[in-house]
Amino acid sequence: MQEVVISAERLYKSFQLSRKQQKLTGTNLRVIKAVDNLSLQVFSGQIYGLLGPNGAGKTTTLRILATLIKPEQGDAHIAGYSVKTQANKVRETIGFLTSDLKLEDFFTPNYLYDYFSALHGVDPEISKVRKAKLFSRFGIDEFAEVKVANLSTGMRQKVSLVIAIVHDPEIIIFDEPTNGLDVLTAKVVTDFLIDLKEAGKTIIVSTHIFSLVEKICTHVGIIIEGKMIAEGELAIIKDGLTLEDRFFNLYEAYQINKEEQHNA
Amino acid sequence: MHNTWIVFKKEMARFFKDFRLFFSTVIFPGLLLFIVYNVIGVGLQSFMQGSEDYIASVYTVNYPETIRSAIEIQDPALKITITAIEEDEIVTYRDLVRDQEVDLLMVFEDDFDAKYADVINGVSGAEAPYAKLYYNSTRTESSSVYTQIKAIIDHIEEMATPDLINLNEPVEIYDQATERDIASFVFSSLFPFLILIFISSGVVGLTAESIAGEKERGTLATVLVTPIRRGEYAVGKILALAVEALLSGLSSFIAVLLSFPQLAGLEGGFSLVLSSFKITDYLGILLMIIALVLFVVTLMSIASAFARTVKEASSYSAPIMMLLMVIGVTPLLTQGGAATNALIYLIPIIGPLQALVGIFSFSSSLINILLAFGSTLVYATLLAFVLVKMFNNERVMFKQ
Repeated sequence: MQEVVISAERLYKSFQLSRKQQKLTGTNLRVIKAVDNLSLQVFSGQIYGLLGPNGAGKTTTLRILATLIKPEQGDAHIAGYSVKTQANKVRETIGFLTSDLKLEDFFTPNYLYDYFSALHGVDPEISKVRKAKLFSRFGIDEFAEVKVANLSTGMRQKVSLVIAIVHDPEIIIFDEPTNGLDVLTAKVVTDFLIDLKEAGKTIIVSTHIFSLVEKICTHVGIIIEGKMIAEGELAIIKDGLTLEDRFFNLYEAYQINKEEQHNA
Repeated sequence: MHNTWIVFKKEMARFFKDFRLFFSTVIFPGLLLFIVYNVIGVGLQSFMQGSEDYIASVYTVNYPETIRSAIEIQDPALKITITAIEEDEIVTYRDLVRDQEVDLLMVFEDDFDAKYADVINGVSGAEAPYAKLYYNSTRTESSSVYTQIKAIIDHIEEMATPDLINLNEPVEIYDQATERDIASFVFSSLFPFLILIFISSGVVGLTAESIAGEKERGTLATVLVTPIRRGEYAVGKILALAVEALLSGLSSFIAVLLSFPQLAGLEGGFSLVLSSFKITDYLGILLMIIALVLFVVTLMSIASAFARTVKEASSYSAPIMMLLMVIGVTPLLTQGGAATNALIYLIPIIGPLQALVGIFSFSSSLINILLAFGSTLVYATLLAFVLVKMFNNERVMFKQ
């Protein structure tokens, strides 16, 4: 029996809309539900894909799991630690990566690696060995002393990736890992995810790219308008269809169901 | 504490290894002030030189021997021509002073010498003779000759007052004392203001870059997902900013110390005041500067943390800066020296400023310095707590 390492229990999170945002999104709602009563479970060693369209609440969910924001209702546990009450313990346990988290342009990959390694309290000797390994794995070594400002987008993404895992976390939370990357860098990232899976890490990634989920995920959760529509083992969810077809079936069913409820 | 040190070290590396940042916050302001003050100083000196050749026209009704001998001791340093006129010409010459044709009109009582001698000799019922000086304050030459003659008459008057009698005291000593007084006055009224402004103007840019800038560029969030406590991070940032602000303020202050005395023609007075400071005075000044830096840094950090962008942070700090400037001029307004009420030393900013006034005017008290330092430390800690709360608040940290 595998153990549950990430669990979200009835998470709820809403955001207030400014008048400008109301105009932009064409609603007159003051508050939108970003995550609505959402639960999920990820077992040790799984790669769990959180799949959904833009604005479905994927990023909000992952940010709650990474303790950057707090749920209004519900709670989530990472390796048994509550994101609400034991945020620091959670941060020690996870590696979180998203394109929103940037590195300071002024510093070199080498300096930043040491800085974040120190913030995570990694023993300097271990850190040195790990850095050498990761830098050579991603081809960062020859750019180790080049300021981040002067690195290519792809190289920056690689450095961000490496820095997110300076403490060799058992659990990795990855928001839109291949977003905005060229095909070569995207491949580096997906290969890395597979490596991590083989090393026995537990990973949760959010994406709207079906092929990415089909390629790397063992499990999938489909999320629409902040709600979990379907969750389970990838093969079972696909039910003999391609993931794309299956997703649109579920999406249509959701819309019909919503209209019926509205009319009733 | 260990994490605070890691953050502090990183911030220092950022500051010292970035030559542009170091140059723009530490070297440039000081250099600019030094150059500007020296250019003004040279300009002023050539202006003064021009007026040195000027011979002021002074007219007098009666020219008592007492006054004549005192003025002649000073001549030719005085550079004046004195012409005697009749009493019925007073109105005409007063108008000439008004029209800036004549620099000074002196009117002495008829039997000035006799009356003065009576006062000196302590004849009972003796009345002091009168002396009237007419000048035009809008004309520099007129003001200047008025001040010189007034000083001479004051000196004569002082000698007439029994407890001040000191016949052998040359007038020059009286002048030097005045220069030291002016220097001490400049120190106690102007320097607390300058110290506050130099510190604050450095802090504005530094905090905007360091907190709102990191928020804007998304580098703050990268740190917030590590297990560092928000308190440790905030303290690391505050301490680093404080050191940077100190250096920035120090550079401007040194520039002023090096160039201001020449500018104001107070070299002698300044070195007199500086040499009168004891080591404890310097320690007191340092303590008060640290107090001001900590308070201003934490205050500006809060404004910066509240802002989403560097631009927004700068606009938030503008009104704070104005408020600080208004508070900064209070020592200029209260010319009677440092505040005596101990409660005043508990007020943020004003407390340390008044303590500085006290030190600069040689009337400091250890208790007031400690009150100002202790209370500011408490306020800065409270503000730091607010900053930590803000770092913990997702609405503040991640609002779009």
